[in-house]
Amino acid sequence: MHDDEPSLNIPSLLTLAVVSFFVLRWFFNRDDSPSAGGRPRGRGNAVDPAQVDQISQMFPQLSTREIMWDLQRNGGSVAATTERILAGRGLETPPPSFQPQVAMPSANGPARQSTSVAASTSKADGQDLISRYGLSAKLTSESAEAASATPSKSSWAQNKEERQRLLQKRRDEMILAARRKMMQKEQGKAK
Amino acid sequence: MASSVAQKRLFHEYKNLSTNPPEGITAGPVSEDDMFYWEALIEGPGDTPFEGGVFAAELKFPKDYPLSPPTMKFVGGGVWHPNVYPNGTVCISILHPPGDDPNHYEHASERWSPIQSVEKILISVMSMLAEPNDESPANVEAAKMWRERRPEYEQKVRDEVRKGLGL
Amino acid sequence: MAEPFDIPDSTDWLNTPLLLLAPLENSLRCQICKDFFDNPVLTSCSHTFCSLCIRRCLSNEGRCPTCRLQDQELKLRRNWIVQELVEQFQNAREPMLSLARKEAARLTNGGDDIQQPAPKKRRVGFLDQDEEAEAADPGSQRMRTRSRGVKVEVAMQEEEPEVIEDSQDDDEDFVPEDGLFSCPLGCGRRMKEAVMFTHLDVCTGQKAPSPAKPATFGSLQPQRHATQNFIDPPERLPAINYSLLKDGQLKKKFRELGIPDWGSRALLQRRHTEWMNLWNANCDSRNPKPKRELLNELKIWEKTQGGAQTPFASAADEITRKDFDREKWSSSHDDDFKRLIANARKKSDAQIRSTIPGALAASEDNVPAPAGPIEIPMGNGDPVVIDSDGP
Repeated sequence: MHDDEPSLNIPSLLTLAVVSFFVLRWFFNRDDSPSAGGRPRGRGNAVDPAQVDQISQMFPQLSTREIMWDLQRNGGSVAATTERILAGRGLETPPPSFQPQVAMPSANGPARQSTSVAASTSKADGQDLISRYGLSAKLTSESAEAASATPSKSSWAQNKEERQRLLQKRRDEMILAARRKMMQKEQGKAK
Repeated sequence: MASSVAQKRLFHEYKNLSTNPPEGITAGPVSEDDMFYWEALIEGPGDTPFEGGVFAAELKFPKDYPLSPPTMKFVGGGVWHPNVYPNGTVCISILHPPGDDPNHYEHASERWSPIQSVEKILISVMSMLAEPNDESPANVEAAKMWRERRPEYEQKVRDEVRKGLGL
Repeated sequence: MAEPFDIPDSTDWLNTPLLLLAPLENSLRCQICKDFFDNPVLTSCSHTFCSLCIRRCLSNEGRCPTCRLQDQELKLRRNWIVQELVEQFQNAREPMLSLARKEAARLTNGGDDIQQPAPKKRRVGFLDQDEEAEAADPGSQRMRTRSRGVKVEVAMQEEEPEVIEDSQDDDEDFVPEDGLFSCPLGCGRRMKEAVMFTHLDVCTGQKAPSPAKPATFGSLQPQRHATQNFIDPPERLPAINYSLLKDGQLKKKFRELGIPDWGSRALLQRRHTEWMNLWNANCDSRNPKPKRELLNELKIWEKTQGGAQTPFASAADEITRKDFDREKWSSSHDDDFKRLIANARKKSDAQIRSTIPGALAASEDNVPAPAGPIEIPMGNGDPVVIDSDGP
């Protein structure tokens, strides 16, 4: 019922070989020149976040890592990357050693976060844990109770919101307890 | 959408880690709507400069988890450590699939396998904090400092621990 | 998205007096999917996994996940006794667990038989356990333990009939309602109505020990098993050497198998591997599922890991298909489109504002100022800030 595709003949194979040779040569030459070995790309070669942003808005389903990898390889050409995506070739998965110069959660990463605590997640780089999880309000009340509060060791609930709350509570407790301990230790040293 | 094998397995792990958490570890999905994005807290191991600290990390799971490993990245203040990239990404053998070995030093037995789990990863990371692997530094400066100027390294780690706790 | 509301897990036992059942249950679960063993099979290195789980692992890297010895799918052997253990344990689980939870709740109430609402039992039980662990007075603990033991015993007697009833329910010789018909000549095979007539032409009426491919599945045939009738499993699918087939041939093969043949070559290969795993794992089952159920499972795979999930490459392939459903696509991506339009408008507004200062005042009151290139509105409304790399 269905005809098989015509098999490749010798001339077409030859053409393919020549073309792929040039493509590969071009590819490797370009790839090797900027930085040899080690971690790919120096700091100067960062991807413009606006470009990543632009592409990820057009194709929200792509991970930013892939976008950045492609942008970095084609020298920051949004048009080339877009072309590639639209042609259905997709983007290559970046090698694990690829460290994007711009940190941003991937587009299919965190879903909407219900709590104010979690909402601060993505912008938290360089923050301490207290501000990251919005614990400063709890600091004053907690220090009064000091170590008397026994941290709950385990928690599980049938209900999704409740589970979320318990997890958050355990997280907060862990941070606050560590902070209390650290402060006590320092006070002990000071005396 | 029906839940996938990965989601179910992650839910099992979440439940297990919540009901029966190992010492010094808290982990779970940031929101249950996306089981593939977790956040974990681990305590710094005792008798190391990391002692007393709490470190937050995000874990991102691939769709074919547990066939492929998740990635782990410290967030909220860097972790100054030879095996942690300056941007926080953790480089440890259990997070590498057995197929590729970029560093050619790891034993296959140390690497990712579907029977590993979030718990095992976090425990491995805790022991990594205590004993850096000098062979494949992800943070070359930290590795150099750790090797050559240990007191300075330890002081820097201690400072970061305090900063992380907002002190 | 249908999230699992709550799933049974070995940790269910931890907050009850029967916490020693947790490790037992854990050993009855597959270490890959963490679920109870489903069609357990034994690898040549003697590790047991669900048939489907280990097949997926083996097609992924060809090694046992536990000991990393190389293994092949063909060498997998059914592990009947484990299947039986799992089934019996699952039958007993619910009654045992409800009993254990009742007991845990009773203990926390200090012996009062006040009925607790079901969802709270767990946490109450957990408090109890903690309390016990930290109990300063060993004497009182011992007393409590003893009294608990008695109570469990009494309760066991009360509940016993229930357990027996359950195990009776689980008689295995029932005919699976899978829409298949067994051969009237008595060869023991089951098949679809449509296939029956061709089968009748060749059927000898004798129970064939292993049709067609003894090398691939004769070895997995049950050697012996008391009291149970086995339906001959459907024929196993052989692995394909993809590099030998051209796209056209591969697609033809897909149509013969009755699975979707769209997508890139890499996707086709992945889909075939998944289908082969689903199919062959089903062959290990005592009650094989009908093909349409497997096709459903393939659909789920497609949505979560295959071509119907997010990566754009495969989505693009879908759009270019001839039978592409335009309406459905545009309705399911309506939000995305609207958001993109809104973003584009915002951007062009910003451009106008930066180039024509006069336009600023005009557009300011109805359009919120975009936060610049570093803050982009993501699909769910939370602004995400792109932070440049750390130190």
